[in-house]
Amino acid sequence: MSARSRTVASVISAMAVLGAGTAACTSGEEASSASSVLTVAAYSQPTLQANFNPFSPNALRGTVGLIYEQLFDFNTADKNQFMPGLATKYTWDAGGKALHLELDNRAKWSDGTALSRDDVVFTFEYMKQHKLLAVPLTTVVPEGGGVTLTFASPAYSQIQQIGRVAIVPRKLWAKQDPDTYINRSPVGSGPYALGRVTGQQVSFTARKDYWRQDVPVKQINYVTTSSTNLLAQQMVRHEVDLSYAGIPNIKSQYLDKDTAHNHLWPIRASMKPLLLNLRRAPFDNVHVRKGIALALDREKVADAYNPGVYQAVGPTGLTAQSWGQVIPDGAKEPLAQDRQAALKEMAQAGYQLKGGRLVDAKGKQLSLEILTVSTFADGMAYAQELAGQLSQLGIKATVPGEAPSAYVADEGKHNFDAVFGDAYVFGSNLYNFYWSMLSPDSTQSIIGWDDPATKAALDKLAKADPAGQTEATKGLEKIMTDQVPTIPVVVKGTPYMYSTTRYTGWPTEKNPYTTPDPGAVSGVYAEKLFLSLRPATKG
Amino acid sequence: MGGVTLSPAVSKAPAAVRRTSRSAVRRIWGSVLLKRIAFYLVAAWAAATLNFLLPRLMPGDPASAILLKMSELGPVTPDRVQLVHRLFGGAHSEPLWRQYFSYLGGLFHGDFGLSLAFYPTPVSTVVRSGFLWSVLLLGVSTVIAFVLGTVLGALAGRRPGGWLDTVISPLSIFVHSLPYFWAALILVYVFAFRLDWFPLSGGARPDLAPGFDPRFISSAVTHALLPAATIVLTSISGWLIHMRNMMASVVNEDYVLLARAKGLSETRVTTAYAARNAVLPSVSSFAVSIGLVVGGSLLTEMVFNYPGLGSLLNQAILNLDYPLMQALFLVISMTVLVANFVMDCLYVLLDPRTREAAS
Repeated sequence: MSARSRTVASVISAMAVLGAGTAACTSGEEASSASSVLTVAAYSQPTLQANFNPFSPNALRGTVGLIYEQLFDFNTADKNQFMPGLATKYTWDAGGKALHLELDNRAKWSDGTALSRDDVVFTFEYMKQHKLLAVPLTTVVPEGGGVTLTFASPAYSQIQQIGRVAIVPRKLWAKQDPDTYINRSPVGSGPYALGRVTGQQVSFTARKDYWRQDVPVKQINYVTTSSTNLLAQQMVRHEVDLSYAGIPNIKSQYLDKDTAHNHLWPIRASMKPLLLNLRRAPFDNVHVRKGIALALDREKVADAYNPGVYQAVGPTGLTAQSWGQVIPDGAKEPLAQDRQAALKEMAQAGYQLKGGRLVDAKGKQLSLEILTVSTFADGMAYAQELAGQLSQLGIKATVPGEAPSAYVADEGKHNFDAVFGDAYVFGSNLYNFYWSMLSPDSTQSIIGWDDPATKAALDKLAKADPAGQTEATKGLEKIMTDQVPTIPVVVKGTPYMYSTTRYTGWPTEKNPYTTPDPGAVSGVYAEKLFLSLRPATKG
Repeated sequence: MGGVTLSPAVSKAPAAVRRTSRSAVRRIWGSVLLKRIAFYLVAAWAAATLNFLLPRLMPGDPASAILLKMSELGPVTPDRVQLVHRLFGGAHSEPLWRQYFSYLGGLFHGDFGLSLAFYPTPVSTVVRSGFLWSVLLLGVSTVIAFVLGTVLGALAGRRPGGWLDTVISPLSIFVHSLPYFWAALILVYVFAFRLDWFPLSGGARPDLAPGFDPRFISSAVTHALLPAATIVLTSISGWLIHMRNMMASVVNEDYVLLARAKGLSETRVTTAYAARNAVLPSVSSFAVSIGLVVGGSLLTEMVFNYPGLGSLLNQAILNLDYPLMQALFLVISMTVLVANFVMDCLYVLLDPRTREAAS
């Protein structure tokens, strides 16, 4: 008995020594590899499944940009400059019904073969065949040093979507179904090859033979982080170099912890309006909408959560920084809060202020429920600020919180007074911005705005060539300011947070060479970003 | 535990008695077993049907849920919206009864369809990826908590009011009343974030692929220590209090007094007489908790970003991923049923009274 217990004891101690040994060597490795690896908090979900099919909505991030390359993009964080990818230039012809793309003839697949015009033609045909293309493409043919696309109707407004097509090799894709193919070992033309997928991380390793240039960051890890609380801790410990999640109190939780290395640049890529259900009285009355629009202090709403990330926006919904030349004078600045003007509008709609309450002729108070997803802390904060301001005008404004699935269901059934959750992307062409918000054909347009004048204005903008787009946008801007179908409140900011402990050369507000919105973990944006970084010099 | 205390009693019985009791057991076993099997089959069918119906009572549709998640991470372009609606919008266009029969048909083939949250990965692959994580972490910590809690409870309850009882019992009631989520966050903050003794999160170092690789295993163990400790710490007290109370009432029973009067050693009285009877209710609730292990622990896995079934269930619910939810619920309910069935059978052996009742 005692002999046995001695053996057990020695086995246990041997195991302990062994365990300590392996633990020691793991931490040593961790330290050495951590210095060169760039870590991106790319997922807010805890686990991943391999999927490197660039046509799948569940494609893992980095599939496009790091492995497969897009044709081109536009730098929306700056002044929408052209950013080359596989294509170096584009030229319109036939009144927007033909587009020639000049390709970079240096491009090569990771198996060593050249990326040919034929692959580009194939990709467009493949996407058309499988209904993956939102563009009215009729033909695509090789021509000169590139390809020429033709369209059924002018496609000026679709230029960004065309540029964002990720090109795949014909020889590997011809027989694949884009809906169900998982593509575990992708062959792309991008600067990175797939490293390892472990369920909580995807690693990408730099290709030594990348056709464009030397790749400065040798390994990039896209990791999962299930909660903002955890993310904040990982960022403070510099375990994560780049992230976009809305952690609460970014300033005190992140920036102040290491002011030399921790940085934030809020990227403003979309607009968040207060959406009223126009199918319901009295929100179908333009004076009620104008009254509500005048009752808001937009700066206060923008700062209700993480001050400095969101930004108040003017009545056209556009930011003056990016779209200054498009916005007519007088509509550039956010609408100021004006209680008297708001009450005047309400009076025109038949609402009088009685004992601090806005009531109609029958004495019924104007009430408004701002439906919100209760699990989004930021969304709740913004909605509550809005409701507070409307209450001060005399409206009975409340914020019923709902579970995400119930919110989606109610929104889909148009069972709401108001929502302040949806944001509309500006993109490089304003057609998509206004179309997704105002066209009854858009699934994102939930307000029930169905107006012939808006349709005509949208059609005009869709067909306008680049020179005529500013003029063609005016009609839509006028509808926004006069009819107020949606009430622009803020520009949604994505907190792009980066650390300069391992790498420098990140895009900044002063040097916005690429758009680091969440798209920056994929696409031309990401490629440009990762190829521009340099290892930090140890000081 | 129960099995260990039982075996000496059985082995010391005279050979003849053992033979007759064995054939008796076999006879009773047959009828009890048949009845049990029939009961469990009906329960399994009911569970499978509920699994099918419950997720469909949730409001919303998968396409919109996926879009909501996408829009939370960043702006979603209109063509993306169309693609998502095309792929996932028609998931429920079929009538309910037809969905039900194809679901039942799929069950027999072990085919749960394709996951929506991880489309187009098959549900079985997704479930497999989280299965071992949860089973190992929760299985090991549940067993540890059960054994430790029961032993400590037995020791404390042996002498109600003794020094061990006065220290342990109030302490465990205090620990029991801590909200798990809060306790886990505090432990992470102190031991992982501040002191850096343990990794912050994850199942293992993320750059190691799961497999029988010593580096992976040691990393997985290091990552599991803190979550396991939080589970043990917060669940041990339940077993402890339960066992302590049972023990405290059993030690005053006549047969324990008789055993003492016979002059048996204190250890024998405690283990073979008092504890063996006191542990019976704990064993049956242990079956339930072993069954639930397979469901993972949602909270633990959320706090520790652990890649187990709890995390998958959370993702399935957020994305309204019906196929994945069905599979997970089914795995959970089937394991609870199987664990209960096994415990039912064990019970017949553990507790002679159940055998009497059956005959």
